[in-house]
Amino acid sequence: MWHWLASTSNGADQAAPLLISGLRLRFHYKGIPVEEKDLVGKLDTAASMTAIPIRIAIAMKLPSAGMEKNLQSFDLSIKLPAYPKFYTELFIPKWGWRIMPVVGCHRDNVLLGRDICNKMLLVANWRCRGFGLKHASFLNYNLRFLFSRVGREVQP
Amino acid sequence: MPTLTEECVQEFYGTFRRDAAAFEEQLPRMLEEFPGEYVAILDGEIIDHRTKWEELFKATRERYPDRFVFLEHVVPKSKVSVDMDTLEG
Repeated sequence: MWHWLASTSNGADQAAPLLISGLRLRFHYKGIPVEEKDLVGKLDTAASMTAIPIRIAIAMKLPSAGMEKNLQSFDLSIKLPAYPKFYTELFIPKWGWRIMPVVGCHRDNVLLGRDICNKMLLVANWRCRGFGLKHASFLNYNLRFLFSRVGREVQP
Repeated sequence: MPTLTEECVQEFYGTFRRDAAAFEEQLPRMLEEFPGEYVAILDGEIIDHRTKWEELFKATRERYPDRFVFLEHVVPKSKVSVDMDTLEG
């Protein structure tokens, strides 16, 4: 998952949600894989859980993972008393497949919450104006080296 | 993938709400009888409970392959925060 910041002609940066295309949902029904391809996801770091369109969850006959009660926004408003939760296999380009519980709700695209960001690091390449999420384990050695140097430099 | 009508979605929500309400209603009793297990609810009735979700899912899908069976963990529930402005659209 790597993205580039496009330069604008007037030099002004344009803010927009981070959309991730090529997502796929999959589950096996009666031994046959049922898959929904080419979904678009919006990365939302304010959301603690990933949410998918309820229509897809029902059509794929995804198994129940219970419910999430009292899903609250930052202003404590509640829309439904409980949302259905499902287990699904979610494919994120360059990250591969993972099995995870997701909330089903009325929406057209996938909302990628903080649950997919676990063990990930937001990294930036300032030279080429790119940024993305990388597995923290890939950068473990480099980060330890970096922070050990930073620690030495800030000591009085 | 077949396109679902709004009626199908509302029908699902009706089933879900009934089963979720049955779970809520019987949660105190289930917490005493089989705490920490997973329970299957269909048409508002408890039809099975197992210690592992995978076992419960396989058993219920085998018995009711075309029905939505509500599966839930028998534990006290806590609140979860999600950005609701973006949750629905």
